[in-house]
Amino acid sequence: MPEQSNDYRVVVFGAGGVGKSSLVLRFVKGTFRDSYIPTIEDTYRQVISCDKSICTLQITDTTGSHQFPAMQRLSISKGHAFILVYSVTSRQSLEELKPIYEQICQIKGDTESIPIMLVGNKNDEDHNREVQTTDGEAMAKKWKCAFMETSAKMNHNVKELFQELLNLEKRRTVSLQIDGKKSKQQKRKEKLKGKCVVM
Amino acid sequence: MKPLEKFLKKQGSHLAARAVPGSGGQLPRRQSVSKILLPGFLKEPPEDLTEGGTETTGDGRWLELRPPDSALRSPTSFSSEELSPGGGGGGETQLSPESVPTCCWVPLAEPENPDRLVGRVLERLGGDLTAPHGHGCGADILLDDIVLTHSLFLPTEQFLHQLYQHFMTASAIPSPPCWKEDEAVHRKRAVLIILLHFLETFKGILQEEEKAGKVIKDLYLLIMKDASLYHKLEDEILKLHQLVETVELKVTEETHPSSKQVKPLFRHFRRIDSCLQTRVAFRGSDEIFCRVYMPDHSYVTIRSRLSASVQDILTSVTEKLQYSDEQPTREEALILVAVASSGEKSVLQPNEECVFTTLGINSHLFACTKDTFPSLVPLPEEIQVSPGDTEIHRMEAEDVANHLTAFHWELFRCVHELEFVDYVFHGERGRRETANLELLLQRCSEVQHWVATEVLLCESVGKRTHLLKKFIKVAAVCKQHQDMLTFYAVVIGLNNAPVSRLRLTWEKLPGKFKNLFRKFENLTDPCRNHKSYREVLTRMKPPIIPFVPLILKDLTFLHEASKTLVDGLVNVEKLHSVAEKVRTIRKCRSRPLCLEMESSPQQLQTKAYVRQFQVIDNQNLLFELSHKLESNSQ
Ligand SMILES: Nc1nc2c(ncn2[C@@H]2O[C@H](COP(=O)(O)OP(=O)(O)O)[C@@H](O)[C@H]2O)c(=O)[nH]1
Ligand SMILES: [Mg+2]
Repeated sequence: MPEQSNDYRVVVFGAGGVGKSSLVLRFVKGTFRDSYIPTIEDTYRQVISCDKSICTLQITDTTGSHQFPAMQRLSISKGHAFILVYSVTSRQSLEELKPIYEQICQIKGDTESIPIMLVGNKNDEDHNREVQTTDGEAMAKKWKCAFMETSAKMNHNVKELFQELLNLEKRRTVSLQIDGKKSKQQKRKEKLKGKCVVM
Repeated sequence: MKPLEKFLKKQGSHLAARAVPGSGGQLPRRQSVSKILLPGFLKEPPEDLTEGGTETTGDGRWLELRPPDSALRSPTSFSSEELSPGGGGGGETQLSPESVPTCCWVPLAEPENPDRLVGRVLERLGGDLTAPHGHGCGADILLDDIVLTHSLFLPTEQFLHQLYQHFMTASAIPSPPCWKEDEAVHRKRAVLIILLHFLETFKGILQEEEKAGKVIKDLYLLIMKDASLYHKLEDEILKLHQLVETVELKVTEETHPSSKQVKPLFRHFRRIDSCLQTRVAFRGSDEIFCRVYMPDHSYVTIRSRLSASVQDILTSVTEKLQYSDEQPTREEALILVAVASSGEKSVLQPNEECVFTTLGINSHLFACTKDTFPSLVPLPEEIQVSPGDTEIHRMEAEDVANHLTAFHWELFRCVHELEFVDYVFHGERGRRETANLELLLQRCSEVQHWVATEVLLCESVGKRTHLLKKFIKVAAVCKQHQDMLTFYAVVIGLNNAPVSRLRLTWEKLPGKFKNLFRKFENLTDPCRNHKSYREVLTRMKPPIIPFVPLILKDLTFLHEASKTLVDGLVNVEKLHSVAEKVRTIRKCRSRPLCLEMESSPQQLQTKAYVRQFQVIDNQNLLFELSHKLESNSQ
């Protein structure tokens, strides 16, 4: 299916309430809200550039519960890149990522070539912090994936998260910027910005 | 030569006619569910009424249905349309003469208006306590008629309210002077009998009738308080207790059940194991998941009551999309649109309810603004197909047929009797959900498309002929099982023009199969009001899965042939004919279906396959495939 293969599919996993939907909606729509609506499965599409042509970035926001194992397996096997979100206010939420990470390894095999970003969200809530930045980094090292802390609420590192994830893709050049040439500069700039904040 | 092909072609025009929103406040029933079958089918008048009529001479009632001198109708009350051959409830062939003891049915002596009919029935029921069953001969049938069809002239809650009123009157002390001794008890007993029969009939769907539930509760409490009844009507009271329990009426003051389990309705949310489980009926209060797409094919999944209105659905979607508390300015209002794989779009009205089960097989719900409406296109997976052999090639025709029949029996059993009445007569007196009937019709159409899809995805002529053979065998086995629904669907599927035009494929079919298929075509031939089929059906003993679309067609004709109210009086004959039709359905299911099937892994695989087809329901796409396979046929 030609249209499908042109899509670049990103899947967002994590326990319920860590802020997956908030991150996605902050990125896609630029909005945030305090109330909580549980997600079942939503997918948003955006036009991006891929190998200098236009393609669709498809972001799938998943449920935190394990209600649909089949659906989860399907989105892993169809996904190109993964965002694993926990909340820095909950150690439990980091623990809950383990089975998902393992399932990605199991279905995808060679995970090193697959862009995976471990994300500690809600880093605006420093007073409630249960997971230190170093803990997140350590886990990322173990999983051989990238790491970032974000706040969907403060719009901190959100766009960077998605750009970084796409930068990890080595098999093709994917970028949020539709104009391919500009994007390299942009990428580097954003990379720097992202790093600065994390440290 | 191929009558069904003709019949399939006819639908196009009917569809167009149906797509036009209905007049008045009545919502048009959207065409998509029953796309293949119903519209053309229902509109096509029986070709030869007298033929059908003479067949039922043994059972004169059918002929009495529309005598011009009927006590209920003056000749002038017939519109010219009704007198045309297409009108009239004739042409009916009773499924079985013994389904109802004909000797017993005597219409009420006098026609009545809707408000007094219930009183009349009560008189009839309470009138003769010495009769064999405690009430008058034929009263059983009258009772059943009224319970099944009262919604044609009286909303259910009002019907119950009248019962309540009658019970109150009978409880008054002192009784009216004109009443005989025991008259009050007789009347109370009659109310009880109607209530019992009502509860028994409505079992399973009463939870959905909130207002009716309240009246029942009041009536129940009233009866409970009436100590005078206890020594005379112990049996009835006991039965009432039991029934009230089994129908799960919330007799105690209590709100909705907090968290019902979400039922898998759409393919996306069906777990692998759940499709193998026995189907249970859907109810309006059930929660389901549904994807709602945006013009760019983004989607959100909402959790909704099955009976939710379009407005409710849109509210959930808006809530998800405008994921922001700080956005006070309302964006342009969203509309909900069903987009079929063919690209056909239909806008759903905000007050429409229970829309999920009315979507076509590969239709999806889209939310968009008026501006983006023109840009809506079907999902890519609905318009792209990759030819190739599927699982069916590895399966035995008999296994496939067995699993089809077993599944369709489950679906058929999930349909409540009253759904048939409500499907045809709905819109006139409120709306009750007919989800299970809609799903059955949808499935019927799915099976037709499945046959065409499988044949047309198969690229080698030899294998294709083999598939034709397989499907003809499937039809034959289903017919043996008395599963006429699957039988019909498979035959119609093979007769669908993109398949039937494959001359090379059909030519290679062995003569034996050609003959068999010709027989099947004759059996499904709609001529003379489906005479061949009706004759075969008459000879069958339950369990039977009838070709449900034909039942709906018959009910529609009953409905259109005569008015429910004539000069303000209830047309009891019509109620009776409708109820008779419903009783034929009851009879089909009066005995359980037992198919012997192993549960080997291979069988389970076949079972899973049969229960979740992936079909192409886009006729243009099917034609495209067909022309690719055999371009110069014809
Ligand atoms: N303080 C803070 N709250 C957040 C942040 N992201 C999400 N939330 C809140 O956390 C709750 C759950 O968010 P949601 O995105 O629905 O979580 P999900 O279940 O992972 O999709 C909501 O009440 C959000 O308002 C964040 O970065 N900081
Ligand atoms: Mg969420």
